[in-house]
Amino acid sequence: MEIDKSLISGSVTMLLLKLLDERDMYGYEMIATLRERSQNVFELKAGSLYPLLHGLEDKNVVTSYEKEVIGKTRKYYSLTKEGRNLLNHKEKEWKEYAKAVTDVLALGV
Amino acid sequence: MEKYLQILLEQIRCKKAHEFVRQEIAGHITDQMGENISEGMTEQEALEEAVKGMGDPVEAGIALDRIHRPRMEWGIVAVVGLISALSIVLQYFILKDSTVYQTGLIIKSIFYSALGLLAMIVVYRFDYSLIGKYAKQIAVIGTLGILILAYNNGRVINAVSYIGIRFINISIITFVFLFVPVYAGILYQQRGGKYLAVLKCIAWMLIPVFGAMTIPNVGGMIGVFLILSVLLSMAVYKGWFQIPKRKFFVGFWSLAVILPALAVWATLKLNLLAEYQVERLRYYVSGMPSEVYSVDKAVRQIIKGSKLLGKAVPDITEQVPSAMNSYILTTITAYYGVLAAAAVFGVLLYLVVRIFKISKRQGNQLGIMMGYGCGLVFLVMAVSNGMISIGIRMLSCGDLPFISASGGEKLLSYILAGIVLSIYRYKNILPKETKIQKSNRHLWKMKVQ
Repeated sequence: MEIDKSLISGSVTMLLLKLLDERDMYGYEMIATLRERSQNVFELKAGSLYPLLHGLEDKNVVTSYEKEVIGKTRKYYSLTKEGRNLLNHKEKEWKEYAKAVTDVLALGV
Repeated sequence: MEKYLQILLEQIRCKKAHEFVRQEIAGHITDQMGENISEGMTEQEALEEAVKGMGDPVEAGIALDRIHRPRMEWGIVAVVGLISALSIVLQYFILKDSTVYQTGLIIKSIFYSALGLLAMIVVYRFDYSLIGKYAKQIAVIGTLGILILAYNNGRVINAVSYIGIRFINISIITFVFLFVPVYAGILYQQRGGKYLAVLKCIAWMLIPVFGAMTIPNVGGMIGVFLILSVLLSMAVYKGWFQIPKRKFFVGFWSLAVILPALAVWATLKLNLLAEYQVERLRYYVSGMPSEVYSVDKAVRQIIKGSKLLGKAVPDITEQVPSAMNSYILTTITAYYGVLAAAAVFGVLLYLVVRIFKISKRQGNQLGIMMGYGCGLVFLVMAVSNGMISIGIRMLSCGDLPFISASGGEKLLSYILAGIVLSIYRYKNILPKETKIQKSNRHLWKMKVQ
């Protein structure tokens, strides 16, 4: 089922931070992992991913470093302490929101 | 792919950011292309599909442009503006009442502040990474230049060595502190090395340390050595060198304390010091003013007699020389009270904290080191001068940054502030790694800690 983009855009930051919470990743890896985990629901375009990542780096939520893997230099992103705090906050916020939505929808049943 | 990249990069106005954005995006397209080929597409199809999957290049480019553009740290500008204004206004009112000093001194102070602000703007516009790129050249040429100037235009006024050209006098110790940002560049160039690289970094310290010693300015020597040692230790801590960290910290810092102590002990034993130097050492150790330091005695009396707010001592300028330079805080205390002096000092400390914060949040490793270096110069100079202003002469590294009427310290302060502004300006423009040398070392990549 095609999902309304505006539904996804609000939570993309949280999802990216969650991925980086597990391990450091480079851009392509993030898109691929997101697609795989969400069973193709989250098809994030690279054109929106990089501005988002660079913006998060500016805010010191993530930091980056270059690493050479099999002859290729890749830019890895990793979560900072501030990023981890933001993720906790966003996760809490999301759970509350999801519960509220589920509760409201359940009323009609 | 080239067309996609070209359109995207055209949206980013700051050219310096192009290279690392291009690298990252091109890497992404190549990865996606490889994936597509493994799914059975031809090379051409795989490329086309990969580029299509990237989305709109204009939209992405505009979004990236918003992030990667020169920035101005208005906070620092505001604090520097406030300090400059405070310095001039306070001096004006003190000098207006003074019977000893001529009011012409205020014109000098305004002149140096204006020259400093101009220098700050020029340095801000300048790409600080060039200091890192040409650190050694700057260090060598700068040192030679200062030696020649000091030889031809050296002046000693009130036991302070200056380089004087016409009416402009700049104390030589300020040039020594100007070495700090250059040293950050030298450390950066040696990254990835082992013990030899660390030894080279220690050897480079000798230039400013010996420079301060020959002025002679023992306080400045200890101050600059401390700052450079902290920077070197930070570099080791961050893993810039491939050496065991613990061994370095124990070895370096114990030598840094033991060697000078041994040197002092040996010169005392061998009677190499003049009578006044022995007296000075005794004074440093005891902290009690002696006849040699009658000024400190006067300073302590002034502080004792000062009010919390308001004027206490009628005319301090008679009792303390260079009341607008080395003893500016004492003068402010006498004329406006302890709280006023504390407020001025507090603004300066706030500036230091702000500089450290900016440096910490830097992406570029050279920027982090250089920013901390500038902050440390302000901190060491402020603390040493603060102590002198209450009559404790432990270190005397020069006058109070921004506040004292002294030309050299004023210019140094504004130049360092300009470097910090330049670091912030290029925060999102320069890549994390500034390529510096032609050797393989610049290929050495590191994980940011």
